Amino acid sequence: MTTRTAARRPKAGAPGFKALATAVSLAVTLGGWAVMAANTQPAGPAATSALPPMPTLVPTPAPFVPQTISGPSTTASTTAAAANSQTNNLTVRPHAVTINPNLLPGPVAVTRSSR
Amino acid sequence: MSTDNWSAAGSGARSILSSIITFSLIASGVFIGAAAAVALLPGWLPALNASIQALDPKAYWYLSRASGFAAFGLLWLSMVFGLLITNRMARLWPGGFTAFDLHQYLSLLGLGLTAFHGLVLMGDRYINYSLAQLLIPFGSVNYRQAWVGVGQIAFYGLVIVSLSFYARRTLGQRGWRIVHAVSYAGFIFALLHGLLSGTDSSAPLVLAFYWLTAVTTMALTIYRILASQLARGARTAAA
Repeated sequence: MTTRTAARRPKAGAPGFKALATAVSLAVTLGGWAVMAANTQPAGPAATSALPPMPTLVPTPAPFVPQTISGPSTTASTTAAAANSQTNNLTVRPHAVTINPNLLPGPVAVTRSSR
Repeated sequence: MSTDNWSAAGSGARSILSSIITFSLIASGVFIGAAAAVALLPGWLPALNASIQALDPKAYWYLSRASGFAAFGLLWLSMVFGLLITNRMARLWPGGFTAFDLHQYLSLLGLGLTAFHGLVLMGDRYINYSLAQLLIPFGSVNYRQAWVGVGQIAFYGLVIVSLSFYARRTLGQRGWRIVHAVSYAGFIFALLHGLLSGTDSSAPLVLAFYWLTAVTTMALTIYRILASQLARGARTAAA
């Protein structure tokens, strides 16, 4: 006499592999986010305060020096001397600049040009 | 002891061994994950925090990019297991039923991550997608319209193939095969989407990943075609 046995149902596939695949895909997603965020330099106060002071672009004008004309006073020489006396002796002098960090614009917004 | 009893004992031992391996895999995964979190999170947390709390938070953009890679990897693995079934290599490893189960599971998991990959972009203020732009192919007028559209079509192809698992009896063998042929187009479209609309495509590691997926899928497909032609030839010769 033969006994009937229930048809064998295959067991669920590979639960370990499924768990591993799920964990790895989550790790790639969250880890990828973390790596991308870490590779982008955040703009902070340190970046703005480390800037060197700006140079003075417009120097203070030199003080007025009265011109004296020597020699015989002729109309021509007076005119020429007056014209030649207008020399441009502009000099750039060092000028200390103080920057108030509180008045500087906020952190630089990084554009998405890197996308 | 009869042969049946020996067979039953052997089957029981295999079952216990399989359970131990499964438990070890899950436990080692949990351990590795926890150790990695403890080691890496303190260093990463400030950057993660900044990416969420900045004036223009980029966390959504980063999450979309990262989940895109994960989804494409799952799609590729699903293709690999599907091809292993059809070219009969699954008989060697991991077994026909297991390969089918993994093929289905990875496909559904990939579908979920692909949906996340798109929908998370709704939070990104720079790209500013609406739901309609995300759902309608080629609706991405703000960003690389053509290649994002190709990715959207790939997603719908993946939806059709994944849902066909539940309509196999209704579709029949021929219909099932026709629907599954869509997965090739879906894979190629997803690859093109990643290569041509992704911002990381120029990175050597990313390029290597794309090459690996393309070459393995192509090699397994060629093997499948050759194996089926050889089998058909052998059947004809025998008849």
